[in-house]
Amino acid sequence: MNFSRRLILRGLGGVTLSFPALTSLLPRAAWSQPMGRRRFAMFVRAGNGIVQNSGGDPERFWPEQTGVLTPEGMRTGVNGTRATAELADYATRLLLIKNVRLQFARNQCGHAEALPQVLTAAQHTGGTGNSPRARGQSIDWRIAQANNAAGAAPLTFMAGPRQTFIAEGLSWSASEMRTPAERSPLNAFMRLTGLASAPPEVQRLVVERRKSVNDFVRDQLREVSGKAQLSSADKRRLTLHLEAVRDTELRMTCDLDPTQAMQVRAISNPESNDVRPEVVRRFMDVAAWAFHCQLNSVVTLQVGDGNDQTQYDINGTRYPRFHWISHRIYSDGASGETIPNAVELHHQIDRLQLRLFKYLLDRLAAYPSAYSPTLLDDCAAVWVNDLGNGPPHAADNTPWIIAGGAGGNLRTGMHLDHQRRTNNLVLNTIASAVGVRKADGTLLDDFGDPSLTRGVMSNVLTVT
Amino acid sequence: MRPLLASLLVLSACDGQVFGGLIGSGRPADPALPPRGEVELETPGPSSRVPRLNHAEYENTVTDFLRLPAKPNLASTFVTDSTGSMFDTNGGLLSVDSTSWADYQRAAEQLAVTATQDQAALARTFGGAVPQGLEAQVRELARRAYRRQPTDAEVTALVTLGNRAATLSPTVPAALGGPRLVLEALLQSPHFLYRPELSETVEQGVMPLSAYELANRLSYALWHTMPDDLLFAAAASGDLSTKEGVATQARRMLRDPRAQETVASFHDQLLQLQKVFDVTRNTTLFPEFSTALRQSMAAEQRTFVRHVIFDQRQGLSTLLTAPYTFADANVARVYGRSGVTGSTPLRLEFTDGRRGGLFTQLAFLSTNATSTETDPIHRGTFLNFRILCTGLPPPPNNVPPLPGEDPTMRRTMRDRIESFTGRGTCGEGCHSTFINPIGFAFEHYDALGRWREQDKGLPIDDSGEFLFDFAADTKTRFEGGVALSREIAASQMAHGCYVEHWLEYLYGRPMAASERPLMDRLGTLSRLEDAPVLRLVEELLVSDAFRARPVEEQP
Repeated sequence: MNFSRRLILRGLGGVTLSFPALTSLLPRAAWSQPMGRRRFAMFVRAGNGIVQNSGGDPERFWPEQTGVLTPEGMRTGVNGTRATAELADYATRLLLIKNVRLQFARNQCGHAEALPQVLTAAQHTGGTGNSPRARGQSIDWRIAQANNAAGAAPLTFMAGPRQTFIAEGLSWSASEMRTPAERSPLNAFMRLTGLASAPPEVQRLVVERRKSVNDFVRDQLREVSGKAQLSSADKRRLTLHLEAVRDTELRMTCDLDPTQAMQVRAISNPESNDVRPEVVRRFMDVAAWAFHCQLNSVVTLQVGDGNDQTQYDINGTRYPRFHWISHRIYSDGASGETIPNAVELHHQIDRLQLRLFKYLLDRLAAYPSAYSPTLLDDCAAVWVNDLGNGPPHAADNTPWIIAGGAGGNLRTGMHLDHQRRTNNLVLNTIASAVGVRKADGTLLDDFGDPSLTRGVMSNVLTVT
Repeated sequence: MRPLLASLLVLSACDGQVFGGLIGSGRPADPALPPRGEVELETPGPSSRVPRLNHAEYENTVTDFLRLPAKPNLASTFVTDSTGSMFDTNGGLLSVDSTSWADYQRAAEQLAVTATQDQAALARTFGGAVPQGLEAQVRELARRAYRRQPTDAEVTALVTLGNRAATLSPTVPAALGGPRLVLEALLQSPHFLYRPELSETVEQGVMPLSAYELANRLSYALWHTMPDDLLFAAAASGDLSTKEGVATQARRMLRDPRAQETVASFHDQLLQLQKVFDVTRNTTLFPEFSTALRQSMAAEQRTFVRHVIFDQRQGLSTLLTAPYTFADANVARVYGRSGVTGSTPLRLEFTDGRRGGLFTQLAFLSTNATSTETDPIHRGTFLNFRILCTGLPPPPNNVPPLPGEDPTMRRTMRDRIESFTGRGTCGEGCHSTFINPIGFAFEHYDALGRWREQDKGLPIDDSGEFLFDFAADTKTRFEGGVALSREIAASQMAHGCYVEHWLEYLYGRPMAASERPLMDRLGTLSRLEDAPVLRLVEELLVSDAFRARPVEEQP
């Protein structure tokens, strides 16, 4: 049933631009993993730090005690006043991890430096704005290479503007190769599905035609990339292109819920401030659907620009820019008038961010799984803020939350203190939980910069 | 509401050792840079051999290639190009992953249908009569798509593909099916999506570009699209083999309206004009503000830049000091000038000495301010980074906030900032020496850019001193934004910085150490002879650095 695609098409005036290549016409062996149980990872990133016991702020984020989590324990008493209370319904499927260090701060621009580190655990080129480039691959690409169809890139989404001081910087296909982010849920959806349904015979011809063109393009790419005088950077870029050509031959016909499809279509200005939370939810719809349909195994979603400048609407009130709130003044810099009650406003935004994350968990939990109670239980759904707190914008106590058991590979229902150890350990753990292994078949324990201490969080992994 | 100042910019690098003694551009000392005078050749810096078209270039190129009556507006649906440099022309930073590949595939299929919808559309695509036979059609289409003469092997491969159209597209008429399939492939070819530069011949220590590679460089630098017929002809005839031949084409292309768009885009990006569309002010404090003012401020700057560079054919000094602007009714209201109506920017003379040049215009002043107050730190930082290339390191992020301002104290913004970042404070290194003197010069312009006589009821001190020539050891004194702009216009730093930005924009890569002599020469030309901007552009395009590749590739 392709009702949703038709729905989208009606919204576009019925224009048919291309056809999906049916999976039934393509070899399933193209998936890297053998058919059967799949595991998925999604990384949702917020910015500007949180209100926790740091930098002079009171504790407003974490439960009072580390240890076992229960729904009742997270929503009652002082814990009910903490931002993480928003996730109490999922207490037994959560890992709350505080005090995770991003190692490579240069005391320059916290936002610009943290963003390329958070999923790479790599060093960076330094600078401000969009200048810093990660000197390593991000974990979503590593997971994609292990779990996706050959050549299929991870999905990279951003709810935020393209013209901004610090734009996307979460996903890196290789050292210094930033992955551009899709800003429109509708474009993301259309790109994943193709745009129309057609009789099988027509689709067969489309597949054949695309294959012929792809063969032609592949030959040319190989010829160009085989030139001896190309730099290694150029060769990396052309290799990425070659892999992309392979990936496009895989499309599926699994469909999105009609109501969600209508909501996806309804957003015409996805970069606008006023629809930011709505865009986040719609990207989450698309991501959960992509997992369900096995179109991709890993997604990143960056909420807001690097120093999130969104003016959020909470309980009917339009807040000042989030970045200003995180500085506690009406300014991106260091001088300006004080924002009254800025800590409370920041806390309310923390709560909003976690309500948005809960929306993702609700969506994942709504899909069935052949192996687990729900799709959520096959996932490692991750929420992270790339800074630890407000005014100092520290990078040594960033908050991480993992939801879902990654198909039974993660122990959940715990609140842990990472004690300022580095984020590569968390990334190794997540990747290992969703099935990534080193060449020798052992758990991934060496992701990120070689100078970092290797390892996994063995206390939360059930696999060895 | 308690005002608050937080400390910032405590920079160990700002100890006076930042600059390394280079004159021309104030960039920090780079160990890779040879001392002045040791490098005499204008040898090219390393660059990608396969820069990818950015989205704007793609949109322009498909329009010209297929001779479409209007831009198809497909690139606006593509995944956004990543950023990472000051300008959007660095194709070596752009790649194709499965997401963007799906965009290119979808666009190619749609464009191929559009271009071969019927015989009339096909004739338009060929610019007149459709060549007879698939091979002839392929040769012409490939020449334009690859922007060079295709090899026989390439033509054969495309003809083979086109001949499969009868099988793969059985419902499409034979006369259209072949070209359609060929176009689908051409629009996805790496020779279309990238600008491969694969020349290998070494002459006099560099690799000269082939005529077609050079034609492409010229065209994408000046027009952001493929070469036109005259440029193709110049490449085919060998006219581009000489510096004069390149200069002839460059001058012709600079007369084309497309060059005006390119020059405008350079200044928009350099001056961060996009930020003007985020400016918001409380209309109680700033009754002149409306959302329409954003567009008016942008129009003021763009009209001024175009007038100086194209109508007056003048240079950087005029951009920095001209005692006039172009204001519509909205902008004129902020300037307190009556008699201007409508939304068309009209020339407005400044005869009172309070304004002159880009940095006393509203776009710069309002985008470097908070919602209520001036922001001397950002004004000073902007000019240090983008206009003087002083190479300041960015501020630290882990400095805790300082105590808030005592509400009973009445202090000017200058006093407040100096108390935390001035001499004798931990911010002295960068602020007191480089940032604050520049920023304070604009204190007579408030957060929207209006002229003001006082700050918090107190007199304004907009004086300062700055070391514009690091070899001189003597600081230059100035009072106010107009005087500062004059000093900047007289400095080698600003002119060196400006041509360096132009190099990065036109060449699609940062300046290399080997290009320092070229920058010094053009910076001096700009400063001493007030060379028109268009001449600087032409000089950059005819230089050895533009017309060749280095023997040594980038890593």
